[in-house]
Amino acid sequence: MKFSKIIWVLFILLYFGSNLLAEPITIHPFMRKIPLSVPLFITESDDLNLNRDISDFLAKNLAFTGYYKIIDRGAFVGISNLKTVKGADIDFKSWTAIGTELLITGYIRKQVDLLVIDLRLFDTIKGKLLVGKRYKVRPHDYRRVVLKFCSEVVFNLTANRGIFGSKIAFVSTGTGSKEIYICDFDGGNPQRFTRNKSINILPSWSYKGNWLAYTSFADGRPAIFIKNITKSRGYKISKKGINTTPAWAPDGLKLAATLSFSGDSELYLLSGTGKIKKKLTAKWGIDTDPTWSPDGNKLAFASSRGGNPQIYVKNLQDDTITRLTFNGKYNTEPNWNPKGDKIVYSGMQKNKTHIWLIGLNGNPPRQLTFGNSRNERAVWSPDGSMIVFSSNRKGKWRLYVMTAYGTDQRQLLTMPGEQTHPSWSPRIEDQ
Amino acid sequence: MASSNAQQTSLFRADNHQIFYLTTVLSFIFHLVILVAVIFAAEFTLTPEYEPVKPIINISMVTLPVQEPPPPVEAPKLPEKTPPEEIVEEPVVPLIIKPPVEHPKPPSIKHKAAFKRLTKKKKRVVQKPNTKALLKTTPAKTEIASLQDVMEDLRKQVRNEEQNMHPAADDQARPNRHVRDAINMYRLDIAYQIEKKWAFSDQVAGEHEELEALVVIRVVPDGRVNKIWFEKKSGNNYMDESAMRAILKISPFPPHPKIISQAFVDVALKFTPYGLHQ
Repeated sequence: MKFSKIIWVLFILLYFGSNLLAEPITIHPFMRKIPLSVPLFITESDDLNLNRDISDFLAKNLAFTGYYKIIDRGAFVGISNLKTVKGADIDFKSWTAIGTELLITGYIRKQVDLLVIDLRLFDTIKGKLLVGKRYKVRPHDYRRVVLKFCSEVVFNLTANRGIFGSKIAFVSTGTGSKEIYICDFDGGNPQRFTRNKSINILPSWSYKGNWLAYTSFADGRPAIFIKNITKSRGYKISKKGINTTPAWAPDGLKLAATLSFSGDSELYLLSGTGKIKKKLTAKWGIDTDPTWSPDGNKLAFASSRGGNPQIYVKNLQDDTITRLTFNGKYNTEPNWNPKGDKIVYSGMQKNKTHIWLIGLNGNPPRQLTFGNSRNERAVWSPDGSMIVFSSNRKGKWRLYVMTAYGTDQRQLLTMPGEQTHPSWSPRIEDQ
Repeated sequence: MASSNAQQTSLFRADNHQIFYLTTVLSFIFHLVILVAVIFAAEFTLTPEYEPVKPIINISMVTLPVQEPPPPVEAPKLPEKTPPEEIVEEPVVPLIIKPPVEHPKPPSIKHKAAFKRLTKKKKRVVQKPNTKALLKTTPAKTEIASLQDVMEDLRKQVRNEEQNMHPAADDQARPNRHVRDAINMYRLDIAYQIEKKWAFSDQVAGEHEELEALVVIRVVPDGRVNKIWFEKKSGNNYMDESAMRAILKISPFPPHPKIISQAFVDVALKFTPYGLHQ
C-alpha cells in the first residue's frame, strides 16, 4: 500500500511538478500619469518671453487632459541645453533617468513677419521621434498651432484627437442675470454669448459646433432659442407652456426638446428651424432632459412616469422604452458618452446630489463625486475622456472637470458670479 | 457459494493489485524515459515548435531599427492656415543596449534548453520562502511600502546570519542559503526599482475588468537584461507596453552581488494596476 502511494506521489510530481508556476513579485504603478518633459523651447527670436509663453502654453494644455504628468523644469537643469531640439543631439538616457517617458522639444525662429515653430515629440525610452511638425504662423496666432500639435501628441497616445479646439458653453450670473458664456475647453477666454439681461439656461451644441440652442426667459416664459455661433441668424420655439431642455442630434440639424403645449411635458423631435417633426413620448408625467446616443438611434431622458424621476432609454427605431436606473429615487440629467456605452447622470441620495456613471450593459452604477456638496449637470467631452459638471463644493457654484473615471477633479475657471449648466462642444477644427 | 464468491472477489482484487502495480511502474518508467529523452533532446535541438513559452519580447528588439527617412517636404508658402510640415530625423543611437559582453553561458541561444532550465528554476526562484514569510509579518501598508519593508527585513536577515555564522558549523548548507537569500534580495531590489518607475494611466488603458501581466526578466551578471518575455499578457496593449517601458526605463540593473555565481537571474514580475489608491 505504501509502495503504491509513493508511486502515485512520484507520478504526480513528475507529471505536474515541472509545470508548477511559482509566485512572482507583484508590483503596482507608482504614477497614474505619463511623465512628460517640456523644456523651454530654443529661439532665435528677439522676444525672449515668446519661447517661454509657447512652451508653457503647450505644457499647460497637455497637463489639462489628465494623461500627462508634466515634469518640473527644475528636475532637468543640466540635461536640457541649447541642443535639445533634434533627436541626434539629445542624451535620452539622461531624460529617462529623471523619469521622463516623453519629451517635447521646440525650435522657434522668425522668417520675415512669420514665426516658424518646429515641434517634436520623442519617446525617450526608445530614443525615437514620434511626431515632428513645422508650423508657420503669425506671432499672435501661435496658440492655434500649439493646440494642433497637442492634438497630435494625444492622438499618438490614444488614437483620438482629444479635446483641443473644443469649447464649453455655460451659464454665469456675473452680470446679475443668467447669461450664456462660451470658453475654451480649458476654461480660458470666456466670452459672453447672450446679452438680454434675462434668464438663459441649458445650452446645447449642434453636432458641428456652429449652432447653440438654449432655454431663455427673455419673452417672459421659457422658450427655446436656436442661434448661430458666428452669424446673426436664429430661430425661436415659443409654444404655449414650457419649451425647454433642447438637445441637438449627433447626426444632423434636428433636436429633441421638452414642450408642454399639450398640457403634459413630453419630448418632441424638432427641425433645426424649430418645427415639430414628431412626438417622441406620450405618457402622463414629466419627460425631460433628452440626450442622444452617438448613433442617433436612441434617446435617454428623465421621466417621472414611474412615480419618481428615473432615467429611461427610448429606441427610436422600434419605439420601445426601457428604464435604465433603479438605484435611488431621484435620477435626472442624463448625458450619453461619445462611445455610446455609458451615461452620466445626477442622482440624489440622502439629500445629496452626485454624479453617477452607468453602463448600458446592466452593471450597477458607479458614483463619481462624493462629499456633502451638490454636483450636477455632468456632460462628456467630445472624446469621452473627461466630464465637466457644476458643483457648489466650495460654496459658490463653479464648473469642474474630471476624468471619465472620476479622478483628477479640479475647477475649470474662476469668474464673477456663479457658473452652472455646462455643455461641451464637439471638436471644432481650425479655431 | 458465498465463500467461493468471496474467494473470487479477493482473487480478483489480488489480480487487480498486481495489474495496478505493474501498470503504474510501467507508466512511471515510460514517462521517465520520455522526460529524459525530452531533456536530452532539448540540449541538441533548437526547433522552435518545442518551445513552450515563446519569448514575446527579446531585448535585442529594443535596438532601434535604422529607418530610411522620408524625403523632405517642401515648406508651404502660405502664411496662415497652412498644413504643418512633417519633421523627419535620422534615427537616434540605441539607448538601452550595451555592446554584447562575453559571459559564461549565453542562455538566449538555446531556447528550449533555456526554457527547461527556467521552468526548473522557477520553482526555486519564485517560491521565495523568505519573502512570503516576511510579507506575512510586514504591516499592511501600501504595496510599495511592503516591498521596501520586505527588502529591509531581508537585508537584516542576511546580516544577522552572517554575524551568527560559525566557521565550523555546516559548511555546505550555509553558502547555499546565503546565495539563495542574495538572489531573492537582488530580485526584490529590481522589482522595487521597476515599481518606482512604472507609470500607468487608467485613462489611456480604458475600461477594463482586471488587468494583470506576468513578465520574466533575465538579468546577466553585469546587470544587463538579456531577455524579457511575457508569461502572460494582460490583453490590454497599453498595459503590456507600459510594463515593458518600466523595465526598459531603468535597465541595465545593478550587477549581480559577488556571492551569486549564476550565469543569469530570472526575475518574475506580476504587473497589476490595482491595489493602490487612485
